[in-house]
Amino acid sequence: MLNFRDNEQAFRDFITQHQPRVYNTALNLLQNAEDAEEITQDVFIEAWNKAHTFKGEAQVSTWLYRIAINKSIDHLRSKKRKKRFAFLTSLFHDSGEPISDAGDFVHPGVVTENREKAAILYKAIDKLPETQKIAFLLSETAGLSYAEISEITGSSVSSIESMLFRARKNLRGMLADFYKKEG
Amino acid sequence: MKKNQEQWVDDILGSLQGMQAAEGNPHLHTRVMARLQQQLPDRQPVQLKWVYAMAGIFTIMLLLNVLGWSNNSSKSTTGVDIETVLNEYNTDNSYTSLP
Repeated sequence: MLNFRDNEQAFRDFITQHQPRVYNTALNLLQNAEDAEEITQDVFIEAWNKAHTFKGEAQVSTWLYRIAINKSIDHLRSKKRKKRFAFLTSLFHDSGEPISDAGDFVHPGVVTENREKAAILYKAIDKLPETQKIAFLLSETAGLSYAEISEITGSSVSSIESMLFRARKNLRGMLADFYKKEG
Repeated sequence: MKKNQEQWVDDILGSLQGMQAAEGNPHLHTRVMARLQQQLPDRQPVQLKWVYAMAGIFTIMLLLNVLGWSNNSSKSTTGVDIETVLNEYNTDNSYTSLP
């Protein structure tokens, strides 16, 4: 069981140890550094508040991945709702503000010569269904095994395999369409 | 053409290879602690015995009110009229009549 309330140093060490994992998960899902930082803070606040509920049945990293993914997905959904609402209001009242803030996101850890290609890939990843996006990012960016992804998401290993298969197939289709249009 | 496309798609899909983890905010711990201090103190759950005690007190008060009210109203229906009271206290009731 985790207990940080009586030991602030332990919490500081906990943050230092797990921050890269939490921040990179949020950053890959949200594709926005500011949002990822906010979500990272939220994750550690929840970890502090709910430390007593962690019974050690799963690894701490699995528990943190779950919190980070849930918070990131909630954030994405609320952002989508706001965008939809902004679109509807823009039909009646033109505020002059852009409806979409989607930019050319590239993860800062991507190798320099791959940055342009990675920007295209991130755009395609953003269009994947939620479950496929999570499975793909955990596998490709965090380098987790099927078993680890299965434990985090609560899906079976075989469904993770099929999710990843469909994710790659969808990405191939989207990228092929993009190639035809741009080429 | 098809081969070029396949190659391009493979290159794009492989563009995350060799990717490093991004470094987050070095002051994360301070930020988190500041936000934790802003949190309201945890609300203590109300114990059930206090809920029952308050409900009991309110019931008793309500019953006493009802009893008091019914006593008053029964007295007023069977009570003496104003003339009897005035006669008993030997008071002139001329103020009740118009000049």
